[in-house]
Amino acid sequence: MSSVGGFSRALVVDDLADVRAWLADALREAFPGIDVALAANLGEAMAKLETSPQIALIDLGLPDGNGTQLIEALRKRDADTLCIVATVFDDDAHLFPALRAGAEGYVLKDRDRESLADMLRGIAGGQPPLSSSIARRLLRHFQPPPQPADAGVALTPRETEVLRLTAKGLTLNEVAEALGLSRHTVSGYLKDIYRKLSVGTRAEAALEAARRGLVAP
Amino acid sequence: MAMWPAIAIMLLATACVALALRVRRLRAALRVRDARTVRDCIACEVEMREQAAAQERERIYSDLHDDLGAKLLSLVYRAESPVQADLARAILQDLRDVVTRSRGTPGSLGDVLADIRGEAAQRLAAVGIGLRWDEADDLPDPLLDTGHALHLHRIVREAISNTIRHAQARHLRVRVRASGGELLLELTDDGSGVPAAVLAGSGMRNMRTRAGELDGRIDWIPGTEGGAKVLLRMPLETGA
Repeated sequence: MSSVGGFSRALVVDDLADVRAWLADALREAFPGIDVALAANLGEAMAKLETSPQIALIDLGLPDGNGTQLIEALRKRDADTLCIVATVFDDDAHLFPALRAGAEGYVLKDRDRESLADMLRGIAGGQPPLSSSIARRLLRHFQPPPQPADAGVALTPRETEVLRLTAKGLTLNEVAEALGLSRHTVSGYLKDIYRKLSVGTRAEAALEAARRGLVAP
Repeated sequence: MAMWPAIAIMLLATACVALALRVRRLRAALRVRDARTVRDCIACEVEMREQAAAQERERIYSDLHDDLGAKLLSLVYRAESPVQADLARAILQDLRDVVTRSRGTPGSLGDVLADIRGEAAQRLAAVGIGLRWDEADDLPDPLLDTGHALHLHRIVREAISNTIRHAQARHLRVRVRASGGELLLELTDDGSGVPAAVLAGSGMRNMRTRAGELDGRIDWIPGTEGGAKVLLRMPLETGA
């Protein structure tokens, strides 16, 4: 979806100036020469969507709404913006709604600049970070029996295994080592899992819409 | 003829005993039902209390999140060294615990250890200390109540803080196993031993108190090859 390392336009949305500066710096470090637009709230961010950012770092608790709304808006535009949540809390309850809305990863705001830049490069290269609590939530989410709407988006045994090990607190490298796979391959599985999550969500949304008579089933 | 009264009495006595037994059974059944009702009431009340507590935590979280979270982030951003940044991060992690507990689902020992492991890996990597995590495969996985989970989190967090701040260590090994109905959690670093600052500090006292809350105990032992070892033992209830 993303051209690896080739981002030239970014959007940073956070109500705190400190955080905006920190995230913008990390973006510049990860993708030298990138043009970073800043927004302090949902309204400002919506007004800046015309710049068609390739990557957006989005805080969830904004003064005039939730960042998830912005992710949904970006998804609707179909502009291929990589939506990344910037958060202080990486537990499942905070992040899951945003991931289901189509966020393709998250970064922790308190990470040091180098590891933030690393995470961003990783995400751009299809290596989304995943905490053990989110992995557990994902396992529960994809647990059989799959809903009819989820047909076709069940996890493969390998993907389930990657999630199971991540849920035990193993890092990406440790998961790779435990399964005898390359780091790159494990990243690929993680990316697929994220993708399936939002595909499943869209399928559910379609089913729900049909149920409510919004669209013909 | 003279037998009749005796037989009648015997029959009557038998009937009485049968009746008494029945009454006793009925009473027992009633007691069970009463107990169930009482239990249900208690469960209901506990649930309500837990709900109220969750709401209260949520409110505190909302109050604190913007203010405290933002200040701690600033401290992280303005820190002059990785160790200083870690101090602010550790406090931020305490805040995360409160928030997660107010929103998350209760977890098992394995879930809690997974979160502890993830946090330890992140913190140690940020200051260049290697982590080796050895967890026994046959570890039981009982459900932990949120209080116990929090104590376990805090004890390990504090032990890692000590390693980061005082020990000049390059590696930390965490060993988790079960033995004789107890959980044994051992953190060993290759640093400068148990520093006086740790022995004198409130951190150690807090860890002791928390270990006590877990019905367990915590000890500091000099490592066999230098460094320091923290050993936490707590009873494991595998019934859950």
